[in-house]
Formats: sequence, structure tokens, C-alpha cells
Amino acid sequence: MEHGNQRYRRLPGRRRGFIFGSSIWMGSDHLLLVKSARFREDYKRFYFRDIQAIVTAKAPRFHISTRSALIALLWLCALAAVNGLEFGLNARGIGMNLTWAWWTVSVALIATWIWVSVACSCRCRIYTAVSSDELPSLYRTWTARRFLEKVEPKLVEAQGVVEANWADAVEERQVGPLPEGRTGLASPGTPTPPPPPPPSKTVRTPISVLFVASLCLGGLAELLTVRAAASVGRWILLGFVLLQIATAVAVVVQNYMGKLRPSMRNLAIVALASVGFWYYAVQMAAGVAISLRNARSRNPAAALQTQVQPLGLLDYPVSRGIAGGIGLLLGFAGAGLLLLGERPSEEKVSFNV
Amino acid sequence: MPVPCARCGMPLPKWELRNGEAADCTSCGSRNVVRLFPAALAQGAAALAEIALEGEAACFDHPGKRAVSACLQCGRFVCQLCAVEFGEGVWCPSCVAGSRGKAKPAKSEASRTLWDTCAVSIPFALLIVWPLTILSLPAVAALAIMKWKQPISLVRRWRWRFGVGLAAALAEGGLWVWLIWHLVAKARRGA
Repeated sequence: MEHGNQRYRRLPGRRRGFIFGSSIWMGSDHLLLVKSARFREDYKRFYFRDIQAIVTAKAPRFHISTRSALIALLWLCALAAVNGLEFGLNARGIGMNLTWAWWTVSVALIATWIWVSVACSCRCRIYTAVSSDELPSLYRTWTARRFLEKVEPKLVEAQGVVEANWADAVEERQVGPLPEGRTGLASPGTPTPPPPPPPSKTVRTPISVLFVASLCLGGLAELLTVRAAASVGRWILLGFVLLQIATAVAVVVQNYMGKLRPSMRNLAIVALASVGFWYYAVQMAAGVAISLRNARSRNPAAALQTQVQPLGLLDYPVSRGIAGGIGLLLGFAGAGLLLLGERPSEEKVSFNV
Repeated sequence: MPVPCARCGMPLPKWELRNGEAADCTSCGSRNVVRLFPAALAQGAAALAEIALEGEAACFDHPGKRAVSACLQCGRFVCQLCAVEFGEGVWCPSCVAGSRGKAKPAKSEASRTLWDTCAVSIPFALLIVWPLTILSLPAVAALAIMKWKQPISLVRRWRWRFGVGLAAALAEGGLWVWLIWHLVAKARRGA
């Protein structure tokens, strides 16, 4: 791909997760690490002349990629095909236990995946004078080997070859960035510049307060009106659900704009997902209940009348109680975030010596 | 400090590295394979800016350091520490931070929003609360029109996601049109 004057070539290794992904690309004078998170790609460049070391450590990595998930899904479809074939063969009088073979191959596949994840996996890090970054796309040893085969000639071309007794020489140097609060051996007394202050993010904005209030009040109203009339309960439910959806979307937008902390955004995502999950769960459960009732009923017209009023199903005390409980729990979590979220975070201990 | 372990960050034992490029970490026990390059041994020399003597040009931000270049944008003198190779010239840190003068070169981009993934996700994400799917067609169409010509990713990426998103949104929009038409026809029959 050519972008301006830059042409990138993909290097071995690609991490395809359900949300996060990663890959490495080679430019004319640098490596480009691409980390993607669904709707966003972050780039980091490592110039050939700056790379100090690439270290690969064997480590278990139990990563389920989208590709392996697809294979698992196809394999489950194969089970249906095997069962169908077996049924057909049995109908013709040919007895054959193909399901047993399917299970045997499944166990072998799972065992292979576990073995590869434990014995053939690794963590790969790239070091420059100011950074130490993991390369997430390199998590299998054979991929890391192929990556090094492609990259090493470029680095040698840019920097030359390291001297033979480098183990002694490197002892007096700093590979990777300096740990916080220490200065390098090669530059004694050089003060390390303070890191730039992080952008001021908060958890308290009018929108986030309204969002948490809608969760708390909605949950409380649901629980208090569980036994109320269906028409009253329906309007309470719809009103608060719409308010919660609107404020949750606004919270996500405010986080994207850099005003809100990710914790409040996560709560908004959980609230949206729980609304969706609850809605479909209630519909499905109500569908099953209606089917059972229809099967027993001797009056089909009355049963049909219940089915054409989908919102009428939402006033079941159990479903509304669950909705209220979920709303109240999320509301308490949000209130906790609002009350505790303004405290400055404690400094994390770094072991990167 | 020797090379850190890629798994736990603890220093790898020097006596093992002497024998080759592989070493077992004494902390986590992982087998590390180390590829070291000359930049690791040359560290520090380039980072030290020289002291400016009397009468010599000095850095704008560090008056005690000798200037080695002038910023391509603002013309301020910069020392070895402040000189940032940016595009085809040397920039000072403040001009790099503000991207002053001209548009940001592609090389300085740190992130991009993948609008094509947004376009393909909207119709399916809105299915969670299905009445909201009425918004998917206008949203995806607006996104596709506004962002079609913008570069998507810094690396190779095709635009088929816009097409899939538009197709899904069109299907949802078609269902909505059918539903509204059906309801209107039913209301007319009732009247």
C-alpha cells in the first residue's frame, strides 16, 4: 500500500481478535506496529536505526482468534452433517458410528491447540532507547522466527553487525527505556524530563450524572411498580429505557471526545448491552410461555390476541423485577464511580528494570 | 543493565548470553532468544548535547547547549536534544507538537478511525434495540458519502465494508418502508 511516499509491506504474524487485532508492516526505514480496536487503529513506528534489540521469550498464549473460532463453528456444522449422514446410513441398514469419529478428531484438535498454546507460543518485545513494546501479532514461535528472518537483514543494513562479545559490552549499557526515577549509565546526571500531564478526564459531567440517575431511578421505579397495572408499568419502562439509551450513547460520545473516563463509558456499554439482552430474553421467554399456553388453550382467538401485543408481555412481574434489579445494580455501580472516580489513581509499581 | 526478559522484564543472566543468543530467565524461567543490534551499544553518545561556548549559537530552549540546526518552521535554533528529524528537515519540539505551518505529514499520524468498520457495524449493532434500526440507513449513507474519499488506514485496506454496511442498512430501510406501507394500508382499510 502506498501512502504518500511510504509503501508498507506486511510482515509475518497477525493477531485477529474479536475486538483487538495487531499486525506489523515494513516501511522504507521503519517498522510500523498497527494495533486495532474495532473502530480505531493506532500506529507506532520503530526506525531501523533506533532498534536496540528484539527479544522473544517462550510463554504460553491461549489466544482464540476469529479464524480459529470460525473453524470451530464449521466443525460444529460438520457434526450436524455427520449426524445427518449417520441417520441416512442407518435408515438404509448400514450401521456406522461417525459421531464417535467426530468426537475423536475434536479431542485431537483441542489437544493440538493446547499443546501449541503451551509449547510453541512466545512473547516478543522490541526495544529502543525510549520504548519497550510487545509485538502482539507475534505469539507463535514459528511466526516470530519468520518475522526475524525478514527484519534482521534490514536492521543489519541500517546499523551493521553487533560485535561478537556483546554480552559484556551491553552490561554497561541500558537496553530499553530507563525505569522511572533512574538515569542511564551512559548519561550520568541528565535529568529525565517529567512526563506530560495526562488530559484532564472526569467521571462527573451533567450527562453522566443523568445517566446514573436514570439507571437508579428506572430500577427503583421498576421494582416499586412491579404489581402496578400493565399500562402504567409499560410507560415507566419505556420512558426510562429510552432515557437510559440516550444518555448511554451520549456518555460514549463524551468519552470519545476525551471528556469522560473509560470507566463510565464501560458502564454505558454494559447498560446498553443489558438492555438489548433483557429485551430479547423477555421476548423469547414470553414466546415460549405463549406457545405452551396456546398448546393447552381451547380458545385460539384469545391466544392470538396475546401474541399481537408484544409490549403487553413486558409487564410480567418477573421480567420487570429482573429489569429493575439490573438497572439498580448498574445504577449503584455508576454512583460508586461518580463518588470514587475523582480520586487520583495510585502510582503503579513497575518491574521493568 | 543487560537485556531484559521479554516475558517478565527481569534482567537476563549475562553468563548465559555469553554462550550465544539464548538465555533462560532466572525469574520466570522462560527461554529468551535475543537479537541485539549496534544501537544498543551506541546509546547515550548522540543524546548528549554539547555545551555552548561563549559566542557560539545556543539552543532556544536550552541556552547552555550548542545549537546544531535551525527549525524548518519557526527558525529557532535547536540543540542535539531538541532537533527532531521530521519529514525532510529538522523541526523544534514545539512545532512538532503543534504541527505548525503545513498539514501533518502521513508519517506523524499515530491513529486513525476506521469509518468503514463503523459503517458495517451500525446496522448490526442497532439490531440490539431493533426500533433504532430506522436510523441505520441514513446513518450509514451519510457516513459512506462523507468518508468514502478519505484514506481509511495507513496500511492496506479495501473499502468493501462500506458496501456491506450500505447493503445491510438498505435491507433494514426496505423492511421499514414495507412495515410503514403495510401499517398505512391497514389503517386506510380500517377507515
